[in-house]
Amino acid sequence: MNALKTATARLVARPSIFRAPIVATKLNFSTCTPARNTAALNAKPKNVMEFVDSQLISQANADGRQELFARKNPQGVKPGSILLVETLNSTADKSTSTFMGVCIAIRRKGIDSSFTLRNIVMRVGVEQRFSLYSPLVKSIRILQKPTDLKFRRAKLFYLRDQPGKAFQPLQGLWKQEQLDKAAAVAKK
Amino acid sequence: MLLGRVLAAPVKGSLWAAAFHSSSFQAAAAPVWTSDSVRTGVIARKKGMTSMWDEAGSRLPVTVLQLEDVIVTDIRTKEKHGYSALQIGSTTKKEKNVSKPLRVHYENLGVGLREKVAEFKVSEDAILPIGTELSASHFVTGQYVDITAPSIGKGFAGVMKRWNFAGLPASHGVSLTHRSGGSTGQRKWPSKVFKGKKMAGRLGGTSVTVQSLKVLKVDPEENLVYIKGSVPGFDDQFVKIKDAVKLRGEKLFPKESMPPPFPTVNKQ
Repeated sequence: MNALKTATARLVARPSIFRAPIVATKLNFSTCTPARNTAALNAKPKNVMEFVDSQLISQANADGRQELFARKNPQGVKPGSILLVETLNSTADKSTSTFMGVCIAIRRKGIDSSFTLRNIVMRVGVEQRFSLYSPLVKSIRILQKPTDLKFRRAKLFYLRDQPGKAFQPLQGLWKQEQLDKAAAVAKK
Repeated sequence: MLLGRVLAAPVKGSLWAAAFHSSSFQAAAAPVWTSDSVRTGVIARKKGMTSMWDEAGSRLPVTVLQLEDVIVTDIRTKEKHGYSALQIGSTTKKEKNVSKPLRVHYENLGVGLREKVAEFKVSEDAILPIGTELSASHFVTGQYVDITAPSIGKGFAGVMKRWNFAGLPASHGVSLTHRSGGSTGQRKWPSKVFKGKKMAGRLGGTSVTVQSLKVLKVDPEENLVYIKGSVPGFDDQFVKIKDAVKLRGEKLFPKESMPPPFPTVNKQ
């Protein structure tokens, strides 16, 4: 739990160009980590577009979705994870649509980051692409993490031709999801 | 009285600049904005594009423009020049990179060296003193602007790229002329090619004005203006921003921000 906390603390948008090399101290065998150049890390990005990007992301990142898709987050979304995305149909009314699928692509472009989910609905393959920071995306939940060594690519477009067993757990997870929802409604 | 002002002002060189310099300029009364007033424009630099989401949830492409040390460098008046305009300068330049004639010219005006200079026609009540700083707050969120900049040069462009010609078929006997323009006219009459015939030639690098673009956001700290849509030119290009000429009154500025900062926003 603590490891995730420190990992996510370091994931706060800091451009990697400011990561100063670790300074070798006299105490080479000390257990404490040598001090990094904190001034450079906290300095404002020199590039205006980097600053604009980080500002827009921090405004849109109210629920922590940035950490969910961060590269270094071990509990984050990876290609091959099964996600359940709830989207608002419009900002006016509160009705939502849900879509569940295997994440086959994650496109990381700052505020324009997006991910694609693929599912087989009534024997028809359906893909949907979601903008990560869109206000219409209400919630993203990881239903199943990919097991190590199963998906060895960043983009799983080959699943369109060779699905294998990648989409088999989806039906069971969907049913489980409906049961959980019904149980939650019944409790109320 | 003018002499007294000149002696008081720490400005070298011309009397003209001294009369209009911000250190000695005394406006009769704060000018009031009318719907016929024309405010000054600014010079900014195109920094790049990103995207924002509006309240309805649609994604809007956004261009980010930054104002870099923008000041008023000179004034044109109806009495002396026949029209009223402000000369705006942007981005400071090092003395070693500037020729002596230019350096002395800026000294006489009493302003720092500027890399890019352009004129903006204004109405007479919108004239600002020389040396006034212009910031991003000059523009109001929700207003419409016109942006002028040189477009990206495409070099010697063929007729298909330049004029959207269809070219010729890829097969069926066409020899070596798949992308050409084909015929250029008739035969014995008029026995000439008309002037202005669309042909291959240089494309791009010309001044292009995109009209009525919306200002989505203004960042006064970093001097940024966020414009909806795209803007001609490449990144770090100098662009001229003006209030939209084809819109007036309530259609130009949103109701809550009427009247706009006039002649420009006050620096406290």
